[in-house]
Formats: sequence, structure tokens, C-alpha cells
Amino acid sequence: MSDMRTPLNRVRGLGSAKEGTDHFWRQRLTAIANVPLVIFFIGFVIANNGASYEEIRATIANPIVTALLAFALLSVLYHMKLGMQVIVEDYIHGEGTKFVLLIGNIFFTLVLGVVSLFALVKIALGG
Amino acid sequence: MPVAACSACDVIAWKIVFAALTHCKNRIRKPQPQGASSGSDVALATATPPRRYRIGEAMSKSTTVQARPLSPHLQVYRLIPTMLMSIVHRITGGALYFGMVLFVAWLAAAAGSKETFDMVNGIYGSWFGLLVLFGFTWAMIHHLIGGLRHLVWDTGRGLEKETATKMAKANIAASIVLTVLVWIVGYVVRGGF
Repeated sequence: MSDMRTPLNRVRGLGSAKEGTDHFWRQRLTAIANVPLVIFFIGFVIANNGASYEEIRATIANPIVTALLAFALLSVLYHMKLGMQVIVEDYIHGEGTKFVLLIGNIFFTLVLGVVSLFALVKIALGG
Repeated sequence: MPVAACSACDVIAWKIVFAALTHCKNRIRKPQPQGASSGSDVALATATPPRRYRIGEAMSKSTTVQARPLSPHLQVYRLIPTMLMSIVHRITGGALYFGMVLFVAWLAAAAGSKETFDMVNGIYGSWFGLLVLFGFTWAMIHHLIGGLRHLVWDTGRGLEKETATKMAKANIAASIVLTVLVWIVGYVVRGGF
């Protein structure tokens, strides 16, 4: 049966998500924060590649390193969440799969955030 | 007075026309509930609240959307630097997304026992582990430079065809050079060479 509804009728209740440029803005905000933080992060990863247990714990326990890593992880993980959301929205068209993946995306980044921040705090406090 | 009578006639005539138009409009635009016979009374239709949709229902229901011709996708276009770097930006983003698991696992291991950390460090220190780490750092540097490109574009600059192409080529070149450089510096500083 052909759809007799007008375009106006069709979009009622399905229109704007009232978010505007919020996603774009947050992606840019975290991108700007990521510039210095990721430069530090890359340096940190390469410099500590192969470091021993004692060495790496001493390095991370340095308050500046702890703070920079925490900021880097928060900004990067949030940026990751935003980016993967776009990828899912672009390529996954089945509504069920899309919802599962969008929820999974949030849980994934959240779990990584909680685990990494807990590990940071534990090392920083000498636990 | 004839004039006044005519005015009154006009008003009445317009009211009739308006009522007729409203009636027709309602009949045409009235959403037909499934299974209902056509021509049910207008009052009932206008009293019905707008129908609510389940998620995705409108998309799949709309046959007109499905019947539309689709614009051709990637395969019909010649590969050009800006396009390739756009794709690589997204791929590196996706790879970094999963690559972060490796970093978080390493960090969690460092927060755990020495045995756990040594095990993880052993895997990461193998040639394959180092290859993955090298790829991870390249992807991050490439995505970082790609992101800077986007931030430049956001200001409205660098969108000209030639400039954008130059930026795309610079992106891949700089990411490879910088990655190699950073690794060499990393090893030199730690006395690895």
C-alpha cells in the first residue's frame, strides 16, 4: 500500500533529536585536548616500552605522569566513544544491531575508563 | 442595501468555500489506520492523536525511500589522496579504539602483581608485540595529524582542492616519518642502540 501520509506527518515524533551540533562540538573539544595529551601519551608509551615492573610503577606514581595519563585516558576514551558512535550510525542499518552496538560502545569505553583509572590510582597510591 | 447584501453573500460564500477546502484537506491528509475502511468520518480522524512509531518503523515502512535511486558509492570514484586519507583516518580511529584495550591491559597488569606484569610485558616485548606497538603508534600519529587537518578545515581554511590534496599527502608522509623518528629517539634515549 502506498504511503498517503504527508512529509510533515511522517516526521512528527521522528524529527530533530534536539542535540544540534553537540556531538560535533564534543568531538572537536576532545580532539583539541587530545593534541597535547596524545603527544605525551605516545612519548610515554615508547619511552616505557619494555620497562620493568619497578621502573614503570615508579614512573606512573609520579603525580604529573599520573595526572597527564588520567587526562589523556579521559579525553581519548570520550573521543573514542564519539567516533565509534559515528561509525556505527554510518554503517549499521539494522535498528536492533545498531542499538546493541551503540550501547556496547558506551559500555566498552566506560569499562576501559574505570579499569585504567583504577589502575592509575592504585599505582599512584602505592597499592 | 444591495452592497451590504453582497458583502454578506461574499462572507457566506467564502465560509462555504473554506469549509469545503478544510473538509477536503482533512480527508486527504487523514492518516488511515490499517484495516479501516476509507471514508470514515472526519471528526473521528481529527480526534485521533498522532500515531506513535516504534523505533525504525517509519524507515522500513516508507516504500518511497526504498524505491529512490541511490547515489553511487566509493567504487565508482577514482582513488584520490584526500579520499584515501579520509578512509585511513577512520580506519586508524577504529584500530586505535580496539588498540586501547592493549594499553589498558598493560596498565592494569602494572597495577597488579609482578608475575602478571612480566607475562604481559613478555608478550608485548616479542617481535609481534613490538610490531603491533609500532602500528599502534603510527595509527595514533596519523590520526593525530588527520585530526589537526580537520581542525584547520573547521576554521574554513585549506579547503581548496590543491591545498587539501597537499595536506592529505603531507599527512601520510609526516605520519610515517614522525613514527620512525619517535621510535629511533625512543631507543637512543634509553640506550637501546
